[in-house]
Amino acid sequence: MDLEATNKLEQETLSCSVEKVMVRNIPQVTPYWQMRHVKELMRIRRLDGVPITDDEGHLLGIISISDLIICIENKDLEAPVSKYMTTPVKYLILNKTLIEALREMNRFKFGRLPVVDDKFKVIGVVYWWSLFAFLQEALDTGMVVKKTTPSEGVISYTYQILGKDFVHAGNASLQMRKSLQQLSIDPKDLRRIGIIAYEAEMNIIIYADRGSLQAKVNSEKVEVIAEDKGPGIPDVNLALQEGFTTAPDYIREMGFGAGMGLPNIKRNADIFQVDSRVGVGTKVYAVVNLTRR
Amino acid sequence: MKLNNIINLVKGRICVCQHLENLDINKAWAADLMSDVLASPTEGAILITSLAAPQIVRTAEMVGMVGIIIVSGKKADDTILNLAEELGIPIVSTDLSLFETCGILYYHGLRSN
Ligand SMILES: Nc1ncnc2c1ncn2[C@@H]1O[C@H](COP(=O)(O)OP(=O)(O)OP(=O)(O)O)[C@@H](O)[C@H]1O
Ligand SMILES: [Mg+2]
Repeated sequence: MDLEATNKLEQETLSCSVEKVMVRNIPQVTPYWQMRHVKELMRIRRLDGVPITDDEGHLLGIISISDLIICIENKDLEAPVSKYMTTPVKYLILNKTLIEALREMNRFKFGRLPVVDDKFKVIGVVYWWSLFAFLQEALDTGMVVKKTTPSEGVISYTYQILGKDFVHAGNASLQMRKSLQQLSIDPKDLRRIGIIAYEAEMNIIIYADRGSLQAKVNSEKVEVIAEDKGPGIPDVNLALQEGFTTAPDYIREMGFGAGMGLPNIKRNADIFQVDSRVGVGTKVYAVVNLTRR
Repeated sequence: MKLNNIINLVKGRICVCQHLENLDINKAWAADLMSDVLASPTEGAILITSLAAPQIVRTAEMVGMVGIIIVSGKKADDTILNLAEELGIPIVSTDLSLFETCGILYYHGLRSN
């Protein structure tokens, strides 16, 4: 089993819109709020800064941790936000790219930048940690690591998967489906491929240390290959039975461990094969023949 | 049935994708196990679950489900909400239990297929 750890950030990743990395759902805070309430908001949501807007949502300023510290030192938590907010404020326009956001944050040493639309309304905030999370995700998981053409008429997509990475669970399969969607594959086939990929990805995340998910496409079929380094499966026939599972309770609490994954893959595949060696790893191979359009 | 109706019936509130309040929803599926969602005729349905984890959003997206109701007052964190917003899947939160939520929506005409 050859697993290449080719972790590299693609240009595509860095030139995506800041929309991808910004945090949404930040409550609208106006200048006549009391500092006390902003403090609570920042504490509960663990935010190190919140944008301040007028009633229509247009950006006016920002309250950051340092503004809050000054207010607390002054024992002035009843004061309105307008007294402590930093203004004018640096911001990003929605159509800026990730790399531009990185540059701006680094240039001004700001840990957060509000994102505004063309009407200057705040639609989110890029925080240093949301950038971090995105970059780490791009490096570790889910993203296309390689798009290759192994032979004439074949396109292959490979995604790396980390064991126990429940936060990103399902990401690789979704990315894979998105890529395949662009090849205008029939939605029914896409659904089968998606389910196969998702179940296989989840098994790698739950049971293995690391692995990869690959889709090889030609005009007739899509092959899904999920390969991992992990404990392997001692009795494959047993594992293929509906309801058989070794998932511990904490896995079931996350919604997995019904013992339905492998049977689910089998049901959706035209060809299905599991090779596993205890102490080495597991390879799940499934083929979906494409409907002619 | 409009999503808005569903929200009122289960005394819930919409956490993301407010703009989809008028979405027409005719099917529902309740599950806490993702394999169940993946193995069932869930396309186009709203997912009723007591699980508050990012996987529910990705699983729903994978099989083309159109919304999610999280029951029993379970809190959806930012990871879940951001993901749902990005994928355009509305999330409704209700304090009612799984049983009550399903019962009410069944009574008012939602079916599994
Ligand atoms: N990649 C793997 N490495 C090691 N063991 C595996 C792997 N995939 C599956 N297994 C074993 O096979 C069993 C059955 O897998 P299957 O996917 O059918 O069900 P599950 O993962 O337990 O539950 P579900 O998929 O319904 O959430 C697992 O419980 C596990 O013991
Ligand atoms: Mg499984």
